[in-house]
Amino acid sequence: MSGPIDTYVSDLAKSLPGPRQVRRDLLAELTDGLRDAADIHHASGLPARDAELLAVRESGPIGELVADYRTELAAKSGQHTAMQLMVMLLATNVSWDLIWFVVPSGGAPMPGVGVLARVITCSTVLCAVICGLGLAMLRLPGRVPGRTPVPVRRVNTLIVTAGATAIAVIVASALAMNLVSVGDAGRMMDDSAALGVLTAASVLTMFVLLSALWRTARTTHTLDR
Amino acid sequence: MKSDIVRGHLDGLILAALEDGPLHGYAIIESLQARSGGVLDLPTGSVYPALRRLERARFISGKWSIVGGRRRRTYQLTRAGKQALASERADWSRFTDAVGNALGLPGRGNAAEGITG
Repeated sequence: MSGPIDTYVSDLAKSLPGPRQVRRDLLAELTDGLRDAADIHHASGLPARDAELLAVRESGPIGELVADYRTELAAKSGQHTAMQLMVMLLATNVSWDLIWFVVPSGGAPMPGVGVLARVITCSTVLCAVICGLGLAMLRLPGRVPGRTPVPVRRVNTLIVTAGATAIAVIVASALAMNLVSVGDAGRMMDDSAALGVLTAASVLTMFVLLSALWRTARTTHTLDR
Repeated sequence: MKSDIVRGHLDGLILAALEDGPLHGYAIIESLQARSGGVLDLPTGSVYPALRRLERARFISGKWSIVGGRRRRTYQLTRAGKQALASERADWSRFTDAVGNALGLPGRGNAAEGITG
């Protein structure tokens, strides 16, 4: 049978969506603190169960604590997603730029392909810049004189919107590129295994990023307006 | 003292508790209670997310270690944290001087000008 501390932490955990590892880390720290408090109360003469109950009471009602824990989890999730978007989108873009030097294109590209490639690059860079700003805002000290920290909810919304928009534009542009030069794309794919691997990696990257965006959106949704 | 008042100054209180050296979460809570003579009434559970917030702001750095046979997350003040603490102290001093003046408490000087100007 679990004691008051385990029940308390378990009840709090049920109210906390977010990155599993961060949540586990945060709750482990709380549990350690509660056990420290219970040990001290027990050493001062309280029975073990009463000592745990007192430690839990001192910790405060779950309803009062949950907003602070949710904010930290959402901030961590936002930081993680912003970093993933920056690194993975830029890496994907650079990889595609590099592979055109390696794989022979067999002639001039179809009209429109260059424009679409620039659209992809611009979307990637813009998203990376917004994510960089988001990261800086999430790390902005809470009490810099003259500066009010931007709420985590607002920063995460910015990151998720930028990420989702960039992915939509990149995927649509990539599909359009294949459509306007469908013959070239098929032939080049047949000629180069590297191109096939990069295509598969890019698709996987988009799924990983969409999953991160969904997780951050879900975690942010629980924050108070 | 009411917990919502204390909460408004929690960041500064935590930074002050860490000024003398690294501490883990519950030791910080004990230090806060000892420094205030037990007057500060705060839900102890609110200290842990506050520590993470300060860590996110780079005012403190935290790492897991084994202390007294138990795994604990220990925090220490960074250089930015020391500056933030100094700023917090200056703000608090100006605030209490201004309120002291307004309440007509003796020996408060003319600090109200500092907070408005």
